[in-house]
Amino acid sequence: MSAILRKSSFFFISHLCTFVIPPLAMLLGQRNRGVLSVMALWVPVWLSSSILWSERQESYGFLRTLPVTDRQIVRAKFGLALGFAVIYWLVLSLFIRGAWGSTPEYSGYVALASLTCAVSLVLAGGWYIFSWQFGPSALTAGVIAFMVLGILATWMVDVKRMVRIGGIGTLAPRWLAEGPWVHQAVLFAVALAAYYGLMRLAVRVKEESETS
Amino acid sequence: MAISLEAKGLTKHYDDFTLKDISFEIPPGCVFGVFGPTGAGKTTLMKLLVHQIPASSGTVRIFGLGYDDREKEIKNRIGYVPQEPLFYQDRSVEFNARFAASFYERWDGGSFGRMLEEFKVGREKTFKRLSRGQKTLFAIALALSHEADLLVLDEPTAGLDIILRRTILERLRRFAAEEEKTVVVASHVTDGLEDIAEYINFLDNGKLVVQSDRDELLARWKRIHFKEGALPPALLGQLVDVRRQPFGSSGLTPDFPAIRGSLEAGIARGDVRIENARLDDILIAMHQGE
Repeated sequence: MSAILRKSSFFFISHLCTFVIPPLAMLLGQRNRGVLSVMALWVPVWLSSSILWSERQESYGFLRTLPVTDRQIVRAKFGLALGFAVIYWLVLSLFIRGAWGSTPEYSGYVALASLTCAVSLVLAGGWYIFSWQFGPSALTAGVIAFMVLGILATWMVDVKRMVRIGGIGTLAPRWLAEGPWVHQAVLFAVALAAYYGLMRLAVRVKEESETS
Repeated sequence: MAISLEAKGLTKHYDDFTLKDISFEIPPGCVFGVFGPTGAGKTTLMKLLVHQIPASSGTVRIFGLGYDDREKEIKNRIGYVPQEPLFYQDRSVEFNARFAASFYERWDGGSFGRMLEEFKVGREKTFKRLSRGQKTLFAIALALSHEADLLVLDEPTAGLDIILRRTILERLRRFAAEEEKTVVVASHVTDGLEDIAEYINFLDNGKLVVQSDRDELLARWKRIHFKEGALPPALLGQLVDVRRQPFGSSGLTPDFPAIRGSLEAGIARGDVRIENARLDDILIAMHQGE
């Protein structure tokens, strides 16, 4: 099982470096605290592209010849995405704390990071199921369409300007940004419950699939 | 009697093809051959046996265990050589081997290394750069290196030269005979395999049309060589795959014991000669007689 984790981790780590190093350099080099919001918005893009490449390089036909069940494979893949999302949220929260201290903006940025991580987690589960149901080619089309929509949305809310003026935290809903911490806990609980449900569905889809 | 593999009512539906109601039992220590033309359903059957694809209905039990609850245990005891290589194409031979080895409870790295050397498969080569034959040899080495009790091979000799083909067939024969293990092999050509397969199965259009012990099959099917006019017309009409040649004709009989008596006189005169039928000829005759 660790072989599957090691192999898939490579894609998550390499894509993380691709997406995070530029904004991290801006944060550390130019002291541009606004880029932390970009790092929060990158989560769904990073997870989606990592899953896409990892699935395109996967050989389930090979895995099925080995002493490992589909259930174990699904749990490993879902566990990996969950692990990376949680670590990313923790590290990003620390960066936000370090950059904004106890200012009102801090809550907005953390809320945004929580929201994107929670949504990305559910999205990641969906991508896995989509890939096992329709194959990696369909996944490629789906992820590309998602990224185009993402770029369009970024342009529509004028993220660049919001980053410049430091107002990106307002993208997070008020009930999350200004509410008590329990709101974020509920958000994560709902996301985890949905993710667990998707994982159970994914086991069924995987067991019935014939993709190689 | 102990059973290595039992298939019961195995069926797989596709839009344009159905593998229908396949049942058999395979004892340990034998080579079980599944032959048939291209598109007959051999690969589908092999995939069902090793749980590569789910069956529409029916069951497979291996060493008395079912895939539903003992899949990991079963797969530790079987080696599968697919028709199309299923490995990580962009990774090296070494990576693929290490990756697979990490899943098995038993792994004989020394034996695996020796086989790679014997088969001249370079460890550092990217998998997709291997020839078709080398890919098959790698799969065979992998299947033989985790001390499997059952081997399932789909077209294992395709793409191999005659020397390697003989080496592989001999290894499979020894594996079954000396180690009391089981080999299931599917092929569209019988060349060489008829010598090692004790059980002959013929799959045609998704149906298992022949299930027989090889010796019984070869005792029933004979090729009869005869001079013109040496056989009575009624007997001639019972022959199949009749080949007329200027210096004597020949035909296959599917039931030699039944006509043996009526051939005695011709054999005594030297006008009739009996020869063992080739498995290829038998299977072609059966396919054409469908």
